[in-house]
Amino acid sequence: MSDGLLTVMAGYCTGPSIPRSTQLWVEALRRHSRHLLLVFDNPAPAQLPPSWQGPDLTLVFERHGGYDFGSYRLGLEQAQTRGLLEPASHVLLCNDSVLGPLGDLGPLLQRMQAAPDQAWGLTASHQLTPHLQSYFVLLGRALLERGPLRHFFESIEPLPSRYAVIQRYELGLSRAVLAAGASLQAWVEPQVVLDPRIGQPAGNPTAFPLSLVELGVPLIKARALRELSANQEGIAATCHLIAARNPELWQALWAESPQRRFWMQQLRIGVLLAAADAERLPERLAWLEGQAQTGVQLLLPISAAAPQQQARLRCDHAQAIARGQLQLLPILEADRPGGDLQQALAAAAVDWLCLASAALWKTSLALSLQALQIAEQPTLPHSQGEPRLWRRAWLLSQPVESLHRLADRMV
Amino acid sequence: MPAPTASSPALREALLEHCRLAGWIPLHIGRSGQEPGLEEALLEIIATRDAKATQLSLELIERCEQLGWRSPWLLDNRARCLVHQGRDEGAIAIWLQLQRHSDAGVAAIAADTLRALHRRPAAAVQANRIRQLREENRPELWQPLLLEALLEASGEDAEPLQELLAAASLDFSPPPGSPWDPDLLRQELLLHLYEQQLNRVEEQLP
Repeated sequence: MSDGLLTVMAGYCTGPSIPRSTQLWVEALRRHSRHLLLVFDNPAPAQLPPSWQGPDLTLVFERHGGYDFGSYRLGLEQAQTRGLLEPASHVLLCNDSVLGPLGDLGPLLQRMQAAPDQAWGLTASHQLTPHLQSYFVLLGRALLERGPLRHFFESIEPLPSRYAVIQRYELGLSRAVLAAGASLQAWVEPQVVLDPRIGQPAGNPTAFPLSLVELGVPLIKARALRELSANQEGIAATCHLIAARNPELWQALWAESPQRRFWMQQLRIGVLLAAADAERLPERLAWLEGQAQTGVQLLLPISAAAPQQQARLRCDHAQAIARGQLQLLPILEADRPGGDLQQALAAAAVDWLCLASAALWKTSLALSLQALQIAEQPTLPHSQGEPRLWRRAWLLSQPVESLHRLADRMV
Repeated sequence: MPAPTASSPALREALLEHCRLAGWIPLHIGRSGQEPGLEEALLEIIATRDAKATQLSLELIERCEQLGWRSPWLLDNRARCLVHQGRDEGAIAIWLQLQRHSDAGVAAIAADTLRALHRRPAAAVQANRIRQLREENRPELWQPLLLEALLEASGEDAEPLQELLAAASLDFSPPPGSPWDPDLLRQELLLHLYEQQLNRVEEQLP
């Protein structure tokens, strides 16, 4: 716990109870705060978590319509009234738009509290003008008491849209910090986060959740699991990251989120065909069209020593290849048993693999059921039952003899 | 052209102060090898725009103008910022003006840029604007614009708009208990857009 940290968390909840994922984030904040003020921009829900009581916690449920900054203002006013501000050395302003913790908050918070008059954000952005992103900003109390910041928080009023709030207050907070003589310090500076696809600075760092976690940010934005545009690194990989780093959080998300099917549809699954399937591709593609699980690819290993066969297949099935339904995997002459499967695995641009079998072609739902299983448990090395889905990375880590045995099962 | 009311060193001083108050570490102004004056200011204006700090870029342009500095390149950069912000109309007005500029180089660049802008299909221009407004999280602006554009576009032209509709529909959370389905979500968004449109028409009825 940080001796002098007062945390104000802005929340919004319209359901009958507080989502478990929010509760986990609150628990993490509470562990590191001298006092935690939860300010919701809505009336109290019917049920509150039993643990949400105690001398270190204050709850405020009030529809003020001021979004996060309205809650920050209200929280600071409450802190002042209740005498919570004075003993605090630092104030953390954060909201419930995040999923975490995905790492230890301790070292980060310690570093941010090293000086009494600094302003820290987890991330910063240059979008429009340089600013700290307001979902997690830590201010030294000495800084908070300076004129520009006092005036900034006193002037917060409800605005008509979330955009207007961001435009005026998120950018305004950073300008107030600068006017108060402090600099903007970000745990991850904007120029540090590069778009892995092009190596150029990422415009909005929070759209790169895997990169941020790699750079030491112990949370991700909840939007990164809901909106494709808010996640440039893949929803499926992000689900895996959460499940691996905080299984309890993943279970909570799976239980309470309406996005389960969305996550399932984001899995990149390939069906590894046998060489003989080259002659039956129209039939196999028709089977693929009938699948409930979308985004599945057929993977056809072909000998690199037969370039004309490869060319013919590319010509005959250009449309399926362009649509991403079919991938040709050129295989060099394999000099040991299982080697061709190993090469196919290395070349396949999918995360999950299913080996073609006679039984597979007779079913249209079984693959979806397997996909549901791995969507729910993203860290599994393989699903249970048939047709089994194998994590490609896990298969690649297996001895080649095991792959040989696996290849023998293919029909 | 009137003379600037601030000297080159004063311009540098003012822009450095503005960058400091905006939390921007200058990449050009005051760096070694740079002379004080408009050239380093323009380089900084471009650098901020490249970093997506378009508001700051516009502020630096305004600061130059407030100090009496005038240049068609300031106007050209203002227009480029406006395009980045999805405000194409304002940008076009500036380039139409620059197209008639006495400096042939300026006029040629303005004409080329306008041609490039007009070569974009109307739907693509609209899609750019809508995409920008979505990034700015302004549903009150992009939603009616998307419906209007969808109703006007046809054939291949409509593709970028349909892609936008599909992407935007994924942002909509289905009501509790409803299945998550991209087609359903797309229909939900369309219905929502039509409903809003009808509400607007109703509000205008006498």
